Amino acid sequence: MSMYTLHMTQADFACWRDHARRLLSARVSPGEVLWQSEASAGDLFASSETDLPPPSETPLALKLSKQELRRLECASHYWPSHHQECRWALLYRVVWRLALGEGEALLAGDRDGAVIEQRVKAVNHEVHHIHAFLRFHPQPARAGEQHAPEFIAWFEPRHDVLEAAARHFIDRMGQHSWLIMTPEGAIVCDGRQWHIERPESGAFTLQNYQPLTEMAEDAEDLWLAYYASTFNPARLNEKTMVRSMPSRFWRHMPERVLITGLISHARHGAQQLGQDSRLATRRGRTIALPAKPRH
Amino acid sequence: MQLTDKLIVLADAAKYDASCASSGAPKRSSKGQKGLGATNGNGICHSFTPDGRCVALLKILMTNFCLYDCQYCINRRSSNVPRARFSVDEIVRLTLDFYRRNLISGLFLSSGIIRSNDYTMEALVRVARTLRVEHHFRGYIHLKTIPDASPDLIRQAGLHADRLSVNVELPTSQSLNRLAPEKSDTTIRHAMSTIRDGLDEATAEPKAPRFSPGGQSTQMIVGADDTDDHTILGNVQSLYSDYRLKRVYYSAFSPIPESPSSVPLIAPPLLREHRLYQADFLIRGYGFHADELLTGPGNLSLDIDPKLAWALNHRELFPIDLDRADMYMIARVPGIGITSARRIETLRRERRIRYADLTRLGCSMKKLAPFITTQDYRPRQAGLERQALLAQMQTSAPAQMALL
Repeated sequence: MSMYTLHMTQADFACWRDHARRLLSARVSPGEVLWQSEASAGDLFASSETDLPPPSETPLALKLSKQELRRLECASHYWPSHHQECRWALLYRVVWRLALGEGEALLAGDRDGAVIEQRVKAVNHEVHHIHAFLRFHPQPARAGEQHAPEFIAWFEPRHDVLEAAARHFIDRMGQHSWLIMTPEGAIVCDGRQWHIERPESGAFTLQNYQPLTEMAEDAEDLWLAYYASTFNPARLNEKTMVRSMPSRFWRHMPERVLITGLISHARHGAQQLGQDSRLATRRGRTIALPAKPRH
Repeated sequence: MQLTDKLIVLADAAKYDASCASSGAPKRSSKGQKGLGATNGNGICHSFTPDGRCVALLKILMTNFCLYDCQYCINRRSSNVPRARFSVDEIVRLTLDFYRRNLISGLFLSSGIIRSNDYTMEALVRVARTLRVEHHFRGYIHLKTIPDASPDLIRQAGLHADRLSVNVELPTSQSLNRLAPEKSDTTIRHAMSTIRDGLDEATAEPKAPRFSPGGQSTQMIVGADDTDDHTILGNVQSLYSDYRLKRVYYSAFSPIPESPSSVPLIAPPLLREHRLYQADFLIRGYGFHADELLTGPGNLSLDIDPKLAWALNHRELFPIDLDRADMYMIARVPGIGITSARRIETLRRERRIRYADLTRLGCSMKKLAPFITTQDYRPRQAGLERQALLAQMQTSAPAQMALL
């Protein structure tokens, strides 16, 4: 049995799909393929020159529904940690099994299907995170720089969610121009079109991003006032907060400066009442009914 | 008063409303257009406060001046709280500014009753109209409806809002009479019917003007009176069928400053609220009838969730065979949700179900174990009586006692 090495020059789904089609038509089983991409270094048993065998006389082919294809593509946006299986190898095993008639391979109850499901879930969750927890900072107009974006943001996603974020924010932001920077790439939008820029080498860092920002001074006061006031200390429930808003996102959210203070204040006495304690000490006002009886 | 001060007063005054949903709106986009905002049916929680509740919308009152004296409400006219009122422009500015920074997905606006019901309602509608028409705002808008406002104003509200809601406030009309003398069950239900009719019209006639595409919801306060869960769930069931409600929200009563003697001064019953939400979910999503969850007067058990409680009371129906049972019954097994039930049904078309599949589907194994059989699994507990089984299932880690 020979090993075939496939280089994923562009680590994208379309590239994998081309490879997978050729592998299936040549009936190359998943065990005979090494997928090389991104960080994975050379493998001792692989010869990088191996050409694929010619198409088999009984080629395998597979027709997937749009929904199934979307599911696979979504799973391919998952960035596995070093002890997890390479995304392209997993995907190829699944389509191989499907092509052999094992319809269960993509179902969540199946061994491989469960991993796909878990990855799809993680990617969608991260898409949701960037939609929710990203914070745009408005930029004051700078003289002479017509093309500087009006809003900029920094975000550190765990999976490949840039495209999903781009489509979401272009719907939201209308004709505003904006820039979202992440370590793996930046989305640049001029209010009409968007594109993704990748770092020339390595990754974008916070140091690349920070010089671009110019914070307006009172920027966050109103939001902080709102956040503290909409909190109900009588219902303190830290666990649910942390579960829903993992602390890795706090660093770039303005409300981070309030969280611990609100919790400890609620624990030490304010917990009984729901009212914001800033209001408890202020002079209030009861209201007299108008003289004319109302109906 | 400074804008920041107003915001502190009027967000504090609004936070007792539990709803924060920003879902159910139609698809709207501002791509390349004048204006701001998008909706696609899904809600987004932009932040969470340390009470574990999400911040999806800018939830404020237009004003907390109020002529009513509802005993459970921090804004009642006899309450000694600081008062404030936003101008239309201030609300619009705050909404758009927060929205651009991606802090919120829209506005949830309510108000104390000032001058008259129609005057108040008209002011709320004006905010929504200004956002939509002048600023081309396409984000989410939820308007709280003033029950006694004229039907015409409610129709105008539905033109701009994604969701309308009228609060039933308390579980029974007797409690409402006692604690909110100026409100009436009749007018509240009348307003809910007006909204339902608007929704019906918009569905029936494609060319009818837009009307609250995210439907209507309501809220009831739990623990301010002594109504039991049996009565609550019975009333909720008829609310759902009578008014096409998307959701009933339950708000555990939080004690308020200078609490009147007519309402309790105790910590909000959060666990009870949680059980009511679970029961509500079973009624909406799983085809349970309120009477099945509580067969007689009393409250839902705080120790175990309502689905498990139901299954323990119906040992004669279990264990069920996952290769044969109806999906409807599979979804009634504790520990198996509706999504997993669907997946089990799809999987068994390919092959027989094995016990390990359920782990992979993310089911709660400890809960479901006594209630199912598969080709490779049979529950050991099949013969156990209800009490013995319950005791066995509750051998989880002992809960830590609360401080103080």
